[in-house]
Amino acid sequence: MERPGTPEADREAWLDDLVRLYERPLLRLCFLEIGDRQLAEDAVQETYLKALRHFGRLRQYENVQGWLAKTAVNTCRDMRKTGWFRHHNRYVTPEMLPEAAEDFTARDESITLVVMALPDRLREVVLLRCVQGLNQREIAKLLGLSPSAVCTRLERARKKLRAVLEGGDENA
Amino acid sequence: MPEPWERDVSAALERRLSGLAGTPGLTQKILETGGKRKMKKKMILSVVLAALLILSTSTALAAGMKYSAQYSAIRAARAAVQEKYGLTDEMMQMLQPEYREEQGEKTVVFASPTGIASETGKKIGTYTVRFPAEGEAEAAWSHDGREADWQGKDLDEARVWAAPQLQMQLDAKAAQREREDAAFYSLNPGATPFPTHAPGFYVETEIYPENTPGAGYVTYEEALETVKLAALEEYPYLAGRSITLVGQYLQEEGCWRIELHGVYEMGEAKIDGKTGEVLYLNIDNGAFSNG
Repeated sequence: MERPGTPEADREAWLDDLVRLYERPLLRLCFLEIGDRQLAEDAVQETYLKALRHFGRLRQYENVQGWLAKTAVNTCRDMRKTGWFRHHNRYVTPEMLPEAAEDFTARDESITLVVMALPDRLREVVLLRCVQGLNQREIAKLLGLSPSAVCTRLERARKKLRAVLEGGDENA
Repeated sequence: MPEPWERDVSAALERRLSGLAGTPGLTQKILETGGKRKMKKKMILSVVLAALLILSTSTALAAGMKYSAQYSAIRAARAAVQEKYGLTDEMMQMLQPEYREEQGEKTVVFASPTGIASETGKKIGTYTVRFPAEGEAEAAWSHDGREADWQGKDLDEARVWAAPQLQMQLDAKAAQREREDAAFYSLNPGATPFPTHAPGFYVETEIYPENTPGAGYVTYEEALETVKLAALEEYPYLAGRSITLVGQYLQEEGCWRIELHGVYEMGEAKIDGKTGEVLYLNIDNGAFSNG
């Protein structure tokens, strides 16, 4: 991802590539983690700021996407620990979701809401898998878990999503 | 290869959140910020509060366990709430404790995991236990004086949930789980019953070397053993359950963070990396979860 030019230009080009490639999935991940668009945008910005601070090391890193995803999850986790967030209504409702740019079904919306309502530790692995597209070994490494622990969490999440996944697209 | 359900979830999220387009000119904004930390006002407030929460390191020794001052306060607060309001151990697992120390006064606040702004959270209210410098712990409930609102009423009717309504919620949840399991196994007769383990504590995590605290600190095995003993002391019914432990060392906090997973329970424990003290332990019985 390196480009010729001054160090500043290199840095900007590197960051620009990261933003172009990963901003949207990161924004989805952060929104699903904290359920607030403004805070999700803040979390994404904070994630890229952290990346910029580690520019020297990160541009040699083979799994920058994974690093960004892990950092975004941790940033959201920190936000959830704040005094303000403790008093935030944690029930998720359809009204909290942003307007969609594509057609979607009632089932899509139900799945989104159930994912948002998953316990934190289950939601994290689901998002890293389904939004970031990381494999179980990558997720295990990022979260400091064993691959079997990731597998167990995904299985638990699937069980919790069972009802909504088995529902049909009646409103399609 | 992603499993079909993972692809299904991925596609649903993609479609429903297709309106999340990102921030125009984000690269420039980040470069202009120049790597300086950007914090919202509400975040700054929390940082100030966190700074006030510098914990005392004195320990309490009970039944061979070392508890930090913070966790000792949580234990004492649980007992004070139970004694005054008649909440059972199981009902206490429907609440999450938060320890605070401001201007020299220790306080533990218990609130619903659904958040105090949620409808259920409002009905349950908050239990606050203060520890004055002298004298005994004082427990108070945000709905004190509103007994007429809940006495003899069911879940829908009561605007305030006291012990009777919490018990109704526990019973309703148990019945719901039974119904869902029966439906699932009738549709999937070949499915392996969950959990697959016999009662006991199981460890799922292998610890990567970079996630360990180093020589002279509490080892992963020691931290797990402490969590098991503390969990059994605090929640004796766990002896009959299958609980898996998943842990990692939090370098920034200097402690082991161990999660406890039952079929429905989700818990968290923190063990000081230097002293081995229990810093925090709470197990949510999932009475308000969707599973």
